[in-house]
Amino acid sequence: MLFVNNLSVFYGKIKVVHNINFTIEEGSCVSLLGPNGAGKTSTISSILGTVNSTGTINFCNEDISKIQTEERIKLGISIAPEGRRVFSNLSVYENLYIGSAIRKDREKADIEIEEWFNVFPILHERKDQSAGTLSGGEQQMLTIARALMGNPKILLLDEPSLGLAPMITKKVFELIEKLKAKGITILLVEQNATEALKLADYSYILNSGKIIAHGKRNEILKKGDLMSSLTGVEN
Amino acid sequence: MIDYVVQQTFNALSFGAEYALIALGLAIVFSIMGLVNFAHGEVIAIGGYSMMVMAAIAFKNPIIIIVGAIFAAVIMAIFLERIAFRPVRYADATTGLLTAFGVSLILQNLFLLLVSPRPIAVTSMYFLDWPIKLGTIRISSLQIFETLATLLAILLLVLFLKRSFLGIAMRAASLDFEMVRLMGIRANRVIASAFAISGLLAGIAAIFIIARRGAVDPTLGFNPVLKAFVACVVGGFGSLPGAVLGGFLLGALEVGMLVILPQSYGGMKDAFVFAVIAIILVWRPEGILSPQKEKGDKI
Repeated sequence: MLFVNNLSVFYGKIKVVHNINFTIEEGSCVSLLGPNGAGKTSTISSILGTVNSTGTINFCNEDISKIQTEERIKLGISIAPEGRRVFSNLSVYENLYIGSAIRKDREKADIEIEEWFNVFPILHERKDQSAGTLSGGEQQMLTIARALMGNPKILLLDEPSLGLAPMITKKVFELIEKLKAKGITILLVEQNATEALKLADYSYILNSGKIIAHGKRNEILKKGDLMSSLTGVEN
Repeated sequence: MIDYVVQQTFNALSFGAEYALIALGLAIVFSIMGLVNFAHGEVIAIGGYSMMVMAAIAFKNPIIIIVGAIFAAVIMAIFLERIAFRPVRYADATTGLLTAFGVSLILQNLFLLLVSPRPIAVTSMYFLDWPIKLGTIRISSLQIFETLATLLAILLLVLFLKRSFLGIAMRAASLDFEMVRLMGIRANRVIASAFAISGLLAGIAAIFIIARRGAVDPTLGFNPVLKAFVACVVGGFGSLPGAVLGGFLLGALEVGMLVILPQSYGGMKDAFVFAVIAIILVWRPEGILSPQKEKGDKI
């Protein structure tokens, strides 16, 4: 579904991601792990086309590396970004409604918003409240629901557990597990490697802009000390 | 005494309505792309000149002239966005500001060269202005029209921003423009819509300015835009309610100063108005309706 080939990301003249390759199959959950500054968010940004990059990104048999961000989203890529970035002065309902931007059947958005309200009753209770007044966990739920309002083919989740209390983090990962069970293709970028490895079918470890290891959970855990120092996962 | 107060209240409302209309046009563009569009005044002037042209080519129907002027202003605003502001959209804010001043000067000079440096009479909108006597109170119908038209424009704008998808997207864009693009909404569409609305508001403002002045000249819109800029700053730049509040406050201050100041100080009205504005800005440096920033623990 998504093939990233020889991807490098630049901020000005500085190269922050170095010629990486990875693949995400339809219906799978792939995680991109690594410490701060490893280049995880830069990689996601290059898939979205919001940073300068070289290499090719093939999505659903189409080279998207030269097309505008909006066009990539229309092809079915959706993002729940780092830091949640809800539209703070807009109501919960309006945030979800905006998520349906690329749908041709936008008149059906209300039905789907109701479905999300059933999944997250707290969002229903606060549907007319400004999104900025929600707690961090509620905002994360809203961000993920907003990203799914457009019926994407792939969901990019950038640090969904960042800054959340352990109990809330657990709920977020339970939600991602449910989405995975529904067959939604997911690229999960995380620092919480323990949980991400449990969820992902396949993982890539990034450090200093390079993929230094990849494989299934057991293969990653076998790498021992290196993994431990990079991701905090005990062997 | 009550008659005088009522008359001056209507004066304040109509001045305030004009500033609020223009300030809203500035604020809606600023809130989305961070651009202080000083060329907004020339969009107003285009509205004025289009009325002159339509009257000259024998359009006698005022409805056609009004609709035509608004249409011309909207087209001009969209055109300026396309040729002047889009190329510098992602540049530094200063570049945008200088571009706006440049566009403003170029258009003013084009009006000077191609039309006339002198005011040209446009009397088509005089029909909006007749005296109304309510008992002993004498007011102008134009003041009522201007206030009502502004309130209606604000109401429709609020409905558009609250109810329509594009309106909600514009509000979202004013909070996080990149995130709106990441929802798949075209940046060009949102920004062009903001300029179209600012053009619409400029067109409405042009009608009332022409109705009051009865003439169009190259700097028709420049001075009102400077006042509207002040209204935006006082209200809180980028805040739409702030622009409206700032506009009406500025109108009230101007009329209030004319009433309060002795005649010999009349020429210093603006100095007193700006002194009050300076005090307001000391109290709220970010403007009245701008959220107060955290001061941190050092203060």
